[in-house]
Amino acid sequence: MKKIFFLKKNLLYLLYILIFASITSFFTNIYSISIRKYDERLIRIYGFCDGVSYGFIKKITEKYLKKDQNIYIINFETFPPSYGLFPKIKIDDEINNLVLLNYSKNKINILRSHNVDLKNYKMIYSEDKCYFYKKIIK
Amino acid sequence: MLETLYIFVQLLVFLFLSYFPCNSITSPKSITSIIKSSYDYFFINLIILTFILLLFSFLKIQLNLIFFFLIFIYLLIYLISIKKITNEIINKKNLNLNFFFYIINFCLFINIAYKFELGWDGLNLWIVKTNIFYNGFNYFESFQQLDYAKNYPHLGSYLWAFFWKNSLGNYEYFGRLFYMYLYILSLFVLASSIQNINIKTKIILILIIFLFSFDYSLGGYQEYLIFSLLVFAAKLLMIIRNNNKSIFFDFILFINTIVLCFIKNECTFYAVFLWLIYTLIKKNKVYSLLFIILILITIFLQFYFVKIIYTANSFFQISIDPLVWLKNLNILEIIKRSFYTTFYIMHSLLKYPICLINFLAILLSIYFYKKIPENKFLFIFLILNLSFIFAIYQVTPLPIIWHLQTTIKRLFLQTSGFYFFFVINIFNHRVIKIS
Repeated sequence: MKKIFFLKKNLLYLLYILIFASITSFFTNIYSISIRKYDERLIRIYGFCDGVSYGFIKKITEKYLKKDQNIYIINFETFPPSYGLFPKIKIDDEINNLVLLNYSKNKINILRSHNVDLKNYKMIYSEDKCYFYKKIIK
Repeated sequence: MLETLYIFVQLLVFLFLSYFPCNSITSPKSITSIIKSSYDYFFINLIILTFILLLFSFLKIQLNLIFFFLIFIYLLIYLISIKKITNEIINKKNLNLNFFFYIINFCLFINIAYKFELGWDGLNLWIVKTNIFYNGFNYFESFQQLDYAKNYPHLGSYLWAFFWKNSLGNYEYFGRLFYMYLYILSLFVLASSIQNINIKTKIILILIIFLFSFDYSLGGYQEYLIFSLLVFAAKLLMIIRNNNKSIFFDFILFINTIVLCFIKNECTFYAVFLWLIYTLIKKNKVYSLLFIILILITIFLQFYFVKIIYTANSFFQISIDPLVWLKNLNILEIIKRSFYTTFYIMHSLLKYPICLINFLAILLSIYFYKKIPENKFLFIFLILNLSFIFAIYQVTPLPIIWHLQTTIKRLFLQTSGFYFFFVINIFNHRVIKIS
């Protein structure tokens, strides 16, 4: 009898909790968090080589820039700068390590506006529309 | 599954930090007799915490050390009266609402953990500042590390970095959970301010305010932080208005206002509005003078560091040249800009339904103006804020429509918690009855 009374009394609270859980997709989110690691979720949100291209920059920093974490990123599409996603990365003012995201030959003016001439650079790695260049030291 | 556990631990850390130093055991009777809800202690404690962190942000101390220092001090307070405080924490009174507070926070934290995408400004500005503090730099050093956004205040980013660094998960979004915690707490403060309603109605009200004000696209933005701090400020003004004796709440309002100044540029204006309201409520010249001196010192120090020492282009996000502005001034332009501003104000009422509810409540409050004297200070804030909004869009050098489209909704959202007290006062004065 006591149990039934307790359930009756708290049924509405349980309903509220379920409503809020469904509004915030609680159960789906718990499942998604448990099957997808943080890095995978970052790539799903910020893209590998589209949008902010988190995945590509991450790959570059892990593969080629273990010591020197200075890079200069140019995104050919309108997205906020990607630097914020990498706490250790600094903007390479001398543009020695150049990353081009969503590169398009039609928008070559964007390179000019950054004072970049690709003739002075050697391509190290590319994937889809993303490129990593290093300045040729003369 | 481990990440979920880390999120739960983060919630426990927030709860622990919310219980101290002020609670019904540690506080003197003069305070406990005035405070009615445990959420009021929570918000007072979090204002104190953010103020302590603001002071630490000027020093060169590692974030981990600050965290352990705070936990140590709080544990000492806890150990002094461990039995009483434990009993208080698991008190049956309001247990359902407290339980709902934990659940609602946990659900939202899990939601953020999956949908942690940062908005444009979040990625472009705020996380860049956060990274600097995360990497161990202090307020002064942060200017040398930044190439842009020097004129944006730092406290929101510092809090983000602090809780990110001191989380088990060590992921960026753990720091931002603190914003959400403050936001949910402010909703509970709002709901608890309505007298004579039962817990079930309070929960429904909290759900409604949440649905009407929460926006996933504002990841990393400071708007919810301002929303919460303004709710706390309004609540403190209500307390000060009703209880003129204790200066403790005046002190908390002062530090809340100082904290607010370090969140975003427009908050310096809100600080002056709050001082004006305080002066009208308190009618004590000494405290009022002290308050404005504190605000002016805060603004002057920010200006001194940002503009003079670290030579940012302008103190605010937009730099206004009065001579150019006067040169371009004509009546047609003023009318055009006023029209656009009014149009986008209407638009923002529809974007966030909480603004629409506030608007209706304001209309009702004007009708019942004499019946609800508490609304006086809310009206003052409303008039000053509207004047401020119209003034910004009159002088902005940016394209007016673009500027309105990108900012005005957020300006209204961040103050909507403050205006929700119009709704609360209507209910408290039984102008409208809810069962």
